Amino acid sequence: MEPALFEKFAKRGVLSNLSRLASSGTYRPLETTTPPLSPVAWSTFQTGVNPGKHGIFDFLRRDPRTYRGELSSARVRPAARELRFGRFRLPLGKPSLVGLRRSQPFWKLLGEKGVSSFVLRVPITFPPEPFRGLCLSGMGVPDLLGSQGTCTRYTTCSEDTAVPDSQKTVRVCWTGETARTRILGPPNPFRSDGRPLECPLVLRRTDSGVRLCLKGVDRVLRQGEYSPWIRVRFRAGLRSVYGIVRFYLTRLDPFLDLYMTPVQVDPLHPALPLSHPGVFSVYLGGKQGAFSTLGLAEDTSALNEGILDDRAFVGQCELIQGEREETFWDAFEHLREGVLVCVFDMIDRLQHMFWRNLDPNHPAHPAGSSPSADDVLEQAYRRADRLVGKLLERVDDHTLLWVISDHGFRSFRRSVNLNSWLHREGYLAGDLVGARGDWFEGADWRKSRAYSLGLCGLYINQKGRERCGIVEPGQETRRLKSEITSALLSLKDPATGLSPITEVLDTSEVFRGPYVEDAPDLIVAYREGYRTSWESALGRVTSEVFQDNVRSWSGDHLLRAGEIPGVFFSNKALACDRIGLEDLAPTLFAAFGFSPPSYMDGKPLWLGPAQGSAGSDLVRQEDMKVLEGPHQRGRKMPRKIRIEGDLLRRVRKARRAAGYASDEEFIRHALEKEIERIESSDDEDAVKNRLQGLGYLS
Amino acid sequence: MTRTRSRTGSRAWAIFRESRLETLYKLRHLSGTVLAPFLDFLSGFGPLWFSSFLALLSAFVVLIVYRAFAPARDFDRVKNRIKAHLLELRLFQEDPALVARAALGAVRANLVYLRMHAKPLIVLLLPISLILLEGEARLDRRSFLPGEAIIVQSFWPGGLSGFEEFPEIFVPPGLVVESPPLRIPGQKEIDWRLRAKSAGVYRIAVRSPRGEGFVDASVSDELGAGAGSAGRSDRIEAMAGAPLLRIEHPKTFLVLGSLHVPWLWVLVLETLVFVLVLKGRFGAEL
Repeated sequence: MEPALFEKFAKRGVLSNLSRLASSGTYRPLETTTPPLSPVAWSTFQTGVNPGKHGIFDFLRRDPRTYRGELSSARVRPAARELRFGRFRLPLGKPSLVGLRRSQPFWKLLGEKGVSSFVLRVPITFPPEPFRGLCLSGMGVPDLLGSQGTCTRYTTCSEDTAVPDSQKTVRVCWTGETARTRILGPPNPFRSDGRPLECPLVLRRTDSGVRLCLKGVDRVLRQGEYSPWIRVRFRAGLRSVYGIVRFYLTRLDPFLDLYMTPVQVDPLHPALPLSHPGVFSVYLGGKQGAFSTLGLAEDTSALNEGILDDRAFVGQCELIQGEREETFWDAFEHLREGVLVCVFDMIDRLQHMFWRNLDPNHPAHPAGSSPSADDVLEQAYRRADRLVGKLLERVDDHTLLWVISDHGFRSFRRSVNLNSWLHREGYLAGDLVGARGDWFEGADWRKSRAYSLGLCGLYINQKGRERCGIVEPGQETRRLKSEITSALLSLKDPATGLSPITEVLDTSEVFRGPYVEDAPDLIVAYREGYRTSWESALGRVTSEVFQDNVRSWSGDHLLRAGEIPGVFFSNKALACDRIGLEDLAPTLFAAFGFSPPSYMDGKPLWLGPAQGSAGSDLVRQEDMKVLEGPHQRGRKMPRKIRIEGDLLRRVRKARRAAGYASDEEFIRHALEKEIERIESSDDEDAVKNRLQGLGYLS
Repeated sequence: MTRTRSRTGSRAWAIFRESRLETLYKLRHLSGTVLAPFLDFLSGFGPLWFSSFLALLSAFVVLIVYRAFAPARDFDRVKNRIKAHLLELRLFQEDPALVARAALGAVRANLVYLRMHAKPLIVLLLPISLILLEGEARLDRRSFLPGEAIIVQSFWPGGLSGFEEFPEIFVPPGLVVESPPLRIPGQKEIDWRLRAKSAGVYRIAVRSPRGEGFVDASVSDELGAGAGSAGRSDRIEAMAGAPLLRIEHPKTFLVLGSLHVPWLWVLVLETLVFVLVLKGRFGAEL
């Protein structure tokens, strides 16, 4: 939610419930994180610490050994060992799935104190971690292909330039009234060539639309209509992998255009862990039917690429919102005491995709019959308002209700390719312009001093840290950071004459905590109307630094944190002026009558008539039972490692000083760093040996 | 307290059952006649193969009927709902109120599930009965061995009193009548004991002025040979009061390794397996 839009719609009198909540309780702008990105903000929300302590700084993180980007929240690795028989292979063991958000979410800590929680669709909760409660993972959950959402367009159109990514387009041919094609699934785990698993799909023309024939499914789909979720089964030997898809018939004449959502993990037969405990998604799937499980379920890329039109996208968002609301109410019905957190993404996605309609100066501002943003966004806000109204009717005086958003929104008219700028200014060397591949294809790392990856981060190619680093740490790095900062702040957009960058932050000064060294060296904040280009985020260099943003993705929030706050509503009066995302976790501790952990950066907000007794009117502590949850039973306990008393005391002292949430986290991080260092030196030796073998080195 | 059926009620029930069975036997006779060469061919493979064939046939019939009369999607939804309620019991086991609600939900979903079965089951009643009768006829009983005693039962709807000339039994060579007729007036029944001498299928006739009835007895040298369709009565309908004849061939079991299993168990088990294996191909759910 954007505060300005809330206030605008509230003035029209269409948000009566949120207005009532604001007047009887509290309404404030909610200070977001630096950078103001959802993964960072929601990680801070759940841990109560700054990014230096939870280790999430962007959607992407870079691997300093390869300069490639990877998802910042989770890492999936195939099984470490396998047997190969020609084209076939037999994986020995399971793929590893590791969450990369550090520190501890408040629900885990509250669980240790006997308070159970429902955590629904909160970003950066994949893979789900065990705690006392139930969790359904949100942003970060991949589709069955392992991507963050790859939709498919089935078309009989032979010429099409509108869709840039041909992998998403499957061309089909009518034979009479029938077209036979397939749904592509994940790579076959038993084949070494990575050939995908397939499921046959037959399309038949009917008078009213297209008949979809899959195994066990026979359904007519009309134009402009979404199908229900359809289960797709991919067979790999004796095993089956299940996914779910929805279809949308965009057009039938003069050519067929059929959209299929990304193949999402089936909640009833999850191929990946979607929830904690694992059966929670099965329970929800059984109770409410199949539902979207993908982290970024609303297919913004399909709208960006013209596969879906505005109305179809809004329809998809509404369907997903309906599912979320059903999940939320089910959890609400089951909650006796504890915490219920649910994230609804619809407003965020609609603001990203429809801000162009609000902004007449936006290059993608529509001239035609597209639904007006005011209509679309107002409807979305009204829907949220209805939900809040229904909730207000059902919560009692002992319940604390918060409605929050992690950031606000502004227009995104012009994109800035930071890598193109770095290349133009000589910081990034190599034959990079126009390279088709991602991740700096053609870069000469032995001559490059800086690079940008992700939506707001700049990295120094530092010696001893990056694989081919050339900038000495310390003085030289500081000098280079200062040089780049000055240059970026003086950068001007030739088309508007404006400086697009308003702030460049040195992360070593902004963040505190053990993971600061994983952060980008510099973080860029933009003026309203500007943002990093998509190409720059993926490590591509274009010939132009500035470009008009003509995509539907037209609203964004990469400004200074103070300029782009979210919203905070509470049904309890609060007597503080400034509320930050990091304050919410400590406040929840206070609400339950507990002292927040000392490593948390946020401070508890004043909730009740007197500080210290805040929790007493919300929860009767004597009613809380400390019980071992059913999901905690039978869990494998980690192996114990003996640490001498003196070393343990030093470990505890050091981890407190550094701001780690627990001894385990500190020890794990120390071990990871050491392993990384050893592996990296092993890699260097291996490269050296190879170069010697080829005669390049003597 | 136990409840016993009155004598009149019992008689009425017997007549009802007998008339229903008679209709079914007629239907079976019809289907058996049409399929006789095929069934005879299959029964030549042995009882286990024949029961497998019947199971496959039953599975086809079940799946076709379920596909036509019970939408797979609805079944899937209700089954998932049952599963959800059972998981709910596990997920919220700390809260008795939620557990009770989940249990109630599970019961309700199960009732819906059972109700969904009603329509296809009614439709299945006739074809499955015919298949079971065929199975019973060919697998439930074996032929008599030479030297074994054969009891012929005759039932007289008009009762045993008032015979001008007492019923007489006629047996072909290969069978010998060993005993005089045994009258059981209470059950309107007259029985004879015969002895099998040599292998063959023998038609036995019981005649009286009221009517004439026939029944086949199967005698074989092989222990495992089925009785086929022998043992049931053929009545001459034109004659009112004609007797209903029955011969109880010895019961038989299917041999699975060292186990002797009733054919019905094998048939049900095999049918279940076929249904589960083939339901995906048929697009049926149950």
